Amino acid sequence: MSTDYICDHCGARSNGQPITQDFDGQSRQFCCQGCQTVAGIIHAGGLDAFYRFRDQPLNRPDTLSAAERDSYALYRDPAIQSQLSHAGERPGSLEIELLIRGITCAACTWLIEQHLKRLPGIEEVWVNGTTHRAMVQWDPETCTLADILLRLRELGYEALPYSPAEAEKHLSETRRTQLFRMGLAGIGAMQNMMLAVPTYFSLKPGEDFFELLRWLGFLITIPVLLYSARPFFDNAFRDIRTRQLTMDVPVALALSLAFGASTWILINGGTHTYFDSVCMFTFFILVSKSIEQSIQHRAVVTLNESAHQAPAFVECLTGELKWKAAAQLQPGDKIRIPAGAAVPADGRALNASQIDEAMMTGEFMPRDVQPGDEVLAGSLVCHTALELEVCRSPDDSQMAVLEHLASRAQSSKSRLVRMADRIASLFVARILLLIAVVGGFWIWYDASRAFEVVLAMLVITCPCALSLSIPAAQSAGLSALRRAGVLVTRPDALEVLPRVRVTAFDKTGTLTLGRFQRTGVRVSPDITEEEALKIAAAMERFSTHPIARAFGDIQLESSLVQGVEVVPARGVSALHEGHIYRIGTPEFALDSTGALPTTENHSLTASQLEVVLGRDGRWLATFTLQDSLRPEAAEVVARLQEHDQMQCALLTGDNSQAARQIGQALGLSPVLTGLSPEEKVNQLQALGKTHGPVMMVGDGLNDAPVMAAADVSVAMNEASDLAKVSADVLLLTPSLMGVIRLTSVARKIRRIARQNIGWAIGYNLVALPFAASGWVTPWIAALGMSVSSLVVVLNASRLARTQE
Amino acid sequence: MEVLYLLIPVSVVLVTVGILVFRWAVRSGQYDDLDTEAHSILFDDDGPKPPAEPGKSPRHD
Repeated sequence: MSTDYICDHCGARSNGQPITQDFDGQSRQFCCQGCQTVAGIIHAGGLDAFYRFRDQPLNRPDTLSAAERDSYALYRDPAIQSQLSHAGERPGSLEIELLIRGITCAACTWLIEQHLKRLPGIEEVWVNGTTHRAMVQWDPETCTLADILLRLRELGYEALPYSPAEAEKHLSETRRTQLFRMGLAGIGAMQNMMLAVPTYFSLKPGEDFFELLRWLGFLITIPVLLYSARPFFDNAFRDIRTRQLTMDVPVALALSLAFGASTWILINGGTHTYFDSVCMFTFFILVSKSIEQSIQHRAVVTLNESAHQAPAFVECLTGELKWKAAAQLQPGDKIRIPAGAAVPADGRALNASQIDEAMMTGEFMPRDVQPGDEVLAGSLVCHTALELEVCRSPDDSQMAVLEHLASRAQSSKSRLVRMADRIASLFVARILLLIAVVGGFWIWYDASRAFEVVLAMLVITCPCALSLSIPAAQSAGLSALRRAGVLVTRPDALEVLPRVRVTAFDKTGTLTLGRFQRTGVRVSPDITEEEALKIAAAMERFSTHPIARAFGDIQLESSLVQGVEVVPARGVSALHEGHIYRIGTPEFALDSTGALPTTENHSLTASQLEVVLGRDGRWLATFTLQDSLRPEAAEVVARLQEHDQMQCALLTGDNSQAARQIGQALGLSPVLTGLSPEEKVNQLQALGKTHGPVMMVGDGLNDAPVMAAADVSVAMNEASDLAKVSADVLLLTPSLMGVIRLTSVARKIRRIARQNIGWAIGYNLVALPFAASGWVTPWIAALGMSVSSLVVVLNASRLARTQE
Repeated sequence: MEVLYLLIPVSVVLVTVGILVFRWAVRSGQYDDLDTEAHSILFDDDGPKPPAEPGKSPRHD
């Protein structure tokens, strides 16, 4: 049976038989044991409202194994609890900041808060859904940190103690300042427009209120100009000093000219001031900047979440404490880091080992370290345990990691914006020259009108619309993508995307679900197929291995088997009706006398594997398992090929028939199988040479180098942390459809950016002759300047509303 | 019309107050997490068990 269904817990689409369970008479279906367990906990807590309010699918939770439960034991130790936390508001209570993985939407934060609050001893919980941090205050007499972390874990969220680094505080401080700047400009713009309306329409210069209103406008504009618009002036001065013409220069120029001229008119008398335009323009620019910034902030948070995997405790080689919380390390401490763990603080190696610095440098080949070599925090220890003398406290080291990630995400300006910079600067230089010439003509022809004409020209040709054109389109597109679950961590990718000609897919976990499904069962005459499946499922329920999930869909009574023992890498054994059952590899399940029947000796494709069930060492059944294709894969490939005219290739390390079958079924070409990571990179570059820019969609650890080599890289939601950190785009939902959304929005961004530039330049070219010939009165010019900016912003906002 | 001489300064004072309140709100972190609070109003906070809604699907409604 293979019908598609959507898991009621994690929201993923799967095919096969779902696990079903009744909650208050309503039948729910789940894709795996983990989802079923978590849904049961949520239902038992009366928190079903979660499902009504969430708007993003969840990550698929793993079942909590006994071994994983034990790993939390250290958090029961009072000394460790007090090292990790600090005193809470109530005397005797403790408070800790946690980083929580797995939050996908606002409903998650509600669920976490509600579920935690019901744990006895919890005094205060506050979850931030944007930064994925939680503040928890608890009474150490009643419960322990281990209880708190386990309670989150049973809901499927992984929580890690976290101490925010200086860099992060700085980041959030910057955001707040930016927000206040924007708000101030907004209030100023509204006030100024209110004050300006009477002077536009009913009042004449010289009337009672006219001057009063104008002076008030001047007063309100001063803080907007000095505080809100300050960064533009700072940047413009910097760029002029370094002899670059960026967009900040014309912006600063336009603002100071409009404000200077208005002030001059205010003092010396004249018909029109432009204080409202100054405020409104500042507000528009700040809005688009702040949308962009909040998306970059999200990118930093997501990357940091992936990067934050420092072990909470480190084994100390010196000092009286054997285990020390990583955050408490001091320069001079000597520590040992086991293979596979991340280095918690910058230091000098004391022994020879090998480390992986991909997170820091992007270089994926492990580096040999010798005693005395510097090792950076965030590197992974590959082979032998590394002994290290700490040089910098982890807080400083973590700051370095964060700054690195932040600088990656915020790589100052994207290529699109730099392009706008170039256009604007060329344009502005020419316009200024032209205005000088025309001004000269008017002084000769009619000196009394020269000032008015020059001013009208300056206002009408103000590069406001031009300088907003690309940032507005880009930020609207980024936020539309973000809402669709596609997080762009490097905005440069948006500029490359419409030119991409080839999309290369990885197989396992990208085109396929990375999950095993049963495709066949063969049983001995001693047992029925149904019974074999039930026993297998009852046993596999105790294992967390991916294979075990292939049996998660089978309904069973709770205690079918007893005396369960899980043997890592081999299988599970259990007692049932007085017999010993074993499931797993043939060697494990069967003893020397119970060899496989001869019909069982046939070859398998590499994506298939067999699990054998034996009773008292004799063969009972063989289950064939296969990883299945993502339900949306065919549609995604077809749409990329037809709609985007892209070539879709398969690059996989898998060398099986199944890989070629998938390639054929989806119409991929070329299908390149059995590639090593280096060969993947070579093939990708070859594709790039013959066809054009390449986009790589992948998930695994092996994909990190090939993703770095691609022009645009997209990491799947379930990707390894390393792949996520090196990717340009992260798909936050477990579906390939995000790729389609990404390419279509990128194309729309390009189209709208072009329309905007065309409009802004066209408007200037049309209006300029009228202004130069003295037909445009200053108030028409001001209206034109505001309207042209507004058109650009509204045009860009069409992007934010795109729904497919 | 003379009342405007009073009303305009009053409006300026109100705007200043508004700006100061906004600054306080930003500084105290009230805008740090816009996602959670936007949704929190939808949730029942302390009801031990939300009443079941007969005839309604438990989600996607």
